Amino acid sequence: MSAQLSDELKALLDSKVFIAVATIQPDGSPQVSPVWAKRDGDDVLFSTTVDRRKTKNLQADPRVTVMVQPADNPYAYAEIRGTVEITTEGGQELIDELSLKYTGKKYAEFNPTSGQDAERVVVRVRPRKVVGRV
Amino acid sequence: MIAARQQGPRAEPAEGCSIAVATIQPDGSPQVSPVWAKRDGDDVLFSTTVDRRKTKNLQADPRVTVLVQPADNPYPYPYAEYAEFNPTAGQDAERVVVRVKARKVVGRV
Repeated sequence: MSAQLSDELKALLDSKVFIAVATIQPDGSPQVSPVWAKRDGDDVLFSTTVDRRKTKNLQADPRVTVMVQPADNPYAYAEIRGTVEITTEGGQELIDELSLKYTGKKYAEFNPTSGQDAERVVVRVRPRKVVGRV
Repeated sequence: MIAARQQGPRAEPAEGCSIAVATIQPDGSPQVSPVWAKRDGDDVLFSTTVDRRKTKNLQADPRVTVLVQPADNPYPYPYAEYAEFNPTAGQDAERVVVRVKARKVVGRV
């Protein structure tokens, strides 16, 4: 069971929009953080590191909600609900690609301390349902 | 445990600042939606209606996370966790006020 993204939502995800990623904490409460993202077909990809809270949360419970809101039209927003697949394969390539998309720089140049970061992972969000107005 | 707002020029939400409110669905998965917000001391207030999913979710589990991200500087961000849910009947019977009491603030604002 998977959902398709509208053309408008695809275009939004292809822009420099930040997405808000919500996960479930060990105590069952919600956690939200903003991240860069890109689209791969109907999937949404984002980058994080193996030691971050959202990664651990998603390893424990792969259900995720991604909220996307156009900066120039905040009344139109979409909530993408789905599950994630996490891999370290291509982790460094994805963060460099996202950094170029959002900042025009390689990630090591944008964030000089990133060399001390833990290993990068690729999080692939497979949409189950899309709600909202985009 | 109540968190005090962090000091600094970014401590005041910008005019028209919207927040992303995360709640827990009946099945335990997360839900997120953007809303207008205002500040009342160290609390954050937002409006919704009695019949909306986020309201029902917060009635079942009052723990909330609010993400605030400055539009002109998206990199520093805080989010506050834990809410006290205070539905108060206004003149519009369908509206509720959600008062978020910050337990913890994380991020860079």
